[in-house]
Amino acid sequence: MISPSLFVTELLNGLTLGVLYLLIAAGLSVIFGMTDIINFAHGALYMLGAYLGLSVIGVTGSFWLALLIAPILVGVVGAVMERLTLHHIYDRDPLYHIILTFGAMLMITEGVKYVWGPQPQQFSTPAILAGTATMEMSMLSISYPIYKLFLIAAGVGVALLVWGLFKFTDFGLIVRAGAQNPGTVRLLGIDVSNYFTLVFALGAALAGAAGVLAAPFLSVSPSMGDSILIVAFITVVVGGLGSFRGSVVAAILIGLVESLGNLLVPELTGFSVYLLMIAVLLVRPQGLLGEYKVRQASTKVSFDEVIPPVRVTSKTGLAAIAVLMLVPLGIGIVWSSYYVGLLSLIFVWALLALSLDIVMGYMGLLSFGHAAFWGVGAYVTVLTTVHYTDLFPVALLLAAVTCGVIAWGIGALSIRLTGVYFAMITLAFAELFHQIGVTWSEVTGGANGLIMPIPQMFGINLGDTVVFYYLTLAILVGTYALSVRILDSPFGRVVKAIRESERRTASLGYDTNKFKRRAFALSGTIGGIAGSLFAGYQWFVSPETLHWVVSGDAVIAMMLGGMGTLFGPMIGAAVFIGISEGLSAYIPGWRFLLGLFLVLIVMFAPRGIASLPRVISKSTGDARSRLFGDSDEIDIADYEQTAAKEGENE
Amino acid sequence: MTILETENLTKKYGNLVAVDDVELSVSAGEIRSIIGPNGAGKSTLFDLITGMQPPTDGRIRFDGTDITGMASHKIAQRGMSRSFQITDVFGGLTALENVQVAAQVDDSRRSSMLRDADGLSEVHGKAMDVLADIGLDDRPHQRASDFAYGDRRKLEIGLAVANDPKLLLLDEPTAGMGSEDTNSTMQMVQRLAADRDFTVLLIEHDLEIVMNVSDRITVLQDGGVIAEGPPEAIQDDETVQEAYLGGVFS
Ligand SMILES: Nc1ncnc2c1ncn2[C@@H]1O[C@H](COP(=O)(O)OP(=O)(O)OP(=O)(O)O)[C@@H](O)[C@H]1O
Ligand SMILES: [Mg+2]
Repeated sequence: MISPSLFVTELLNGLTLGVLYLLIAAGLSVIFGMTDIINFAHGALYMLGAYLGLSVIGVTGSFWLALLIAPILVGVVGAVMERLTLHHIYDRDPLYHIILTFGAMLMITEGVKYVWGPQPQQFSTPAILAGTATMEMSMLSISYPIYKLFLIAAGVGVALLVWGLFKFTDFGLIVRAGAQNPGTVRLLGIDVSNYFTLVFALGAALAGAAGVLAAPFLSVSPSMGDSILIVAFITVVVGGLGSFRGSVVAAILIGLVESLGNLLVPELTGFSVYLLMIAVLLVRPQGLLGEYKVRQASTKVSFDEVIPPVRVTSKTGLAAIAVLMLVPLGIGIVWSSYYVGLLSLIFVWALLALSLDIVMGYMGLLSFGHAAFWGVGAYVTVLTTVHYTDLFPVALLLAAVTCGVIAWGIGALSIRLTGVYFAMITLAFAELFHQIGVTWSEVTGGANGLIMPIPQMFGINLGDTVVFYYLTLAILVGTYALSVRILDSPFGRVVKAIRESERRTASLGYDTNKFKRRAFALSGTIGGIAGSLFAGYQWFVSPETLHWVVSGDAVIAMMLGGMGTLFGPMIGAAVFIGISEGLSAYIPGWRFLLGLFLVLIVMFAPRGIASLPRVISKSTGDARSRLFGDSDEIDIADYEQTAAKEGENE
Repeated sequence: MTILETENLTKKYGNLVAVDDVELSVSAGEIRSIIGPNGAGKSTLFDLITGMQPPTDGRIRFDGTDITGMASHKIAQRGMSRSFQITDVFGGLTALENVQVAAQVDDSRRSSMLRDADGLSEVHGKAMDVLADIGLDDRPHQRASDFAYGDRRKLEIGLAVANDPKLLLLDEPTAGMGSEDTNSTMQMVQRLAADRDFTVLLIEHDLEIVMNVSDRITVLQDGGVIAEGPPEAIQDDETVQEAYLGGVFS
């Protein structure tokens, strides 16, 4: 039996958490409200706030100064980040904004690790707020930390302040007008664009304030922003994006569900929030108080130029395959088998990047949850070979089917949510699977993971580096060829049409959701195959395969190579694995460089490596035309004619 | 025979009544124009009829069935097609691919994953016919976003025609065009309607054109119908002249 005192204590705990979530979600929705940008760096800014608070206390000894100065500093960081990057690319598709903030997140996280070290740190409670308050009534006897009570009050105070700022000041008026009609406000010109910076700074400062407030009762560590970012996303989705009231209600609700849920149904610890999210998605996909009007602009992915995939049967394709087939022959002469193994790993990652490109580059759905397929594929493979059969192909097939079904399910639940919603939801779903991987230790081996027997089929040892190399190469080539085929099929046409304009596709008579679900299932299947091969590569699986870092890395690889080209992401995977294998050994903060790289790509080469030949030939062409004075148009017309001819030849 | 019928069709946005109790009845084969000042609710009426927005109240019957509340793609499959006031073509696809997507919608292989989309020869033929009809068959492999504005407007109509509609809703097909383009586009629409035998519901601002091409005209103001009749009657209608035409025909 739960005593009333315990119940009230948990109620207060829930409120405390809720207020914290509210502070984070408030900053997130303030930024989204005006700029249409979901800031993936928000959790990192929150963490930065906590660390800066730590340092201010270290210097001044005052918690209050920390609470004042740290948010301001974080606000400045936010403003600088906006000015240097987002400010110049507001006219781009939201996908690029999301990826850019993701790069910023990597940079901030690594920066913090560099300055403050990777270990968790203690943040002491200020003296006046230390200790507990006690209350005795007939049935109740509660003692509760004063600091948490202060947090509730402070959170309510900050929320009121923000509300007042938007309600009663000129600043708020302009920002609200901007949120209502971004087009008009954008048209108003340079003056208003400064408000974007201010809004970003405000959102970042809110995150920073939340960080300082949270620090005394959660430990301060570089990863403290990760879980809170996911909860903030869930808050915004549950409450309804763009509804401040919705965020308030959802934040408190989630805080309560988490604390009371743990008390009443301890089995669901860690899952209650996800279950709440899924329930809301099923019943009210627009969120509790949201109107759910996705702006057309926030759902679009479009490209300046079409870069057709290289066909397997083309000269380039055949040559690449031939070269790759010869690679193992050089073992011991030109290179060691280590590099052949590394190439297998690259092929596996290439599959994952390819699967992501199908949904992102071709259908325009922003998935930040492909870790789910990678990880589930790996777990299914390991579990199958451990418990049922030592035939690797059976495990592979099972992994592919399972992931296809899971992707279909996630799609069915969330595909009605386009654009930024979809990015947040897929991230949350992947975290749900990660949670399962960590918690359900009887089956998954918990954080330790599971070891798998050396993969084999029909007496062939797949553990052999060369054999495994040819297996992954064959699967990669086959999957690539099939993907090219599928995207050129009637189905693929519709998928591309949906990317260009979902509304128009529907108005022609297509059930666009059906196409989206199928394409997502296809992508999940391929992701599952990749995950299965990854397990076969390392003969081991752990929850790390389900961690959001995998999703992020897949996005990076895809962007690096060139989204919407199918072959680009595979090249990107090669470069990505090459960089990480090459740099991680020498540079501890190499992910900082990765983040920087990502930001630079988004800013300057959004179509990645695949577009480099054209970017280069265009700039030499420009140089030539400057020298000889021929006009640009001729070049373009030439190019179009060749493109048209290529189209006819195929 | 009546192909489209609405019964006290109403759409409210908060306090604003965008479409107010509209009773519309369109016969098969006619060209019906909807005119009215900016903000009269014309585009919203189209959104309701095509199922892109749910009505607040009222019913819609199309080709003998009640389609109120039906999903827009289902309505489209029953033979209703529309073009948009603001061009909405598949910019990243070629002109041919654009019309192919529209033309393959009735094909049983439309969601096949393994065939070559260009290998569906009937679809390809149908799409080329449409491109010829809208005068873009000389550049089938050009990206839609690379066409000039007027050509994109034509493609906008081409997309709507390519899935063989029984009823075609055109939302200001000539918006933003010069007078020459406007005339040729309207002739194109008339020709298409006659050749392909569909009914047209047309929103158009150019009154001269409206008077020339329409069989009947419906006048909307503040969401409600203020007059309906053949062009001559509308031209002479005093309410219309006062409320909308403002002396253009006097
Ligand atoms: N999604 C919406 N939310 C709120 N109000 C809307 C919405 N869509 C349209 N309206 C309003 O409904 C009214 C009718 O708009 P509608 O676009 O149907 O007019 P229209 O007759 O097509 O005008 P135009 O000739 O300028 O195209 C306008 O006052 C408009 O502001
Ligand atoms: Mg209109």
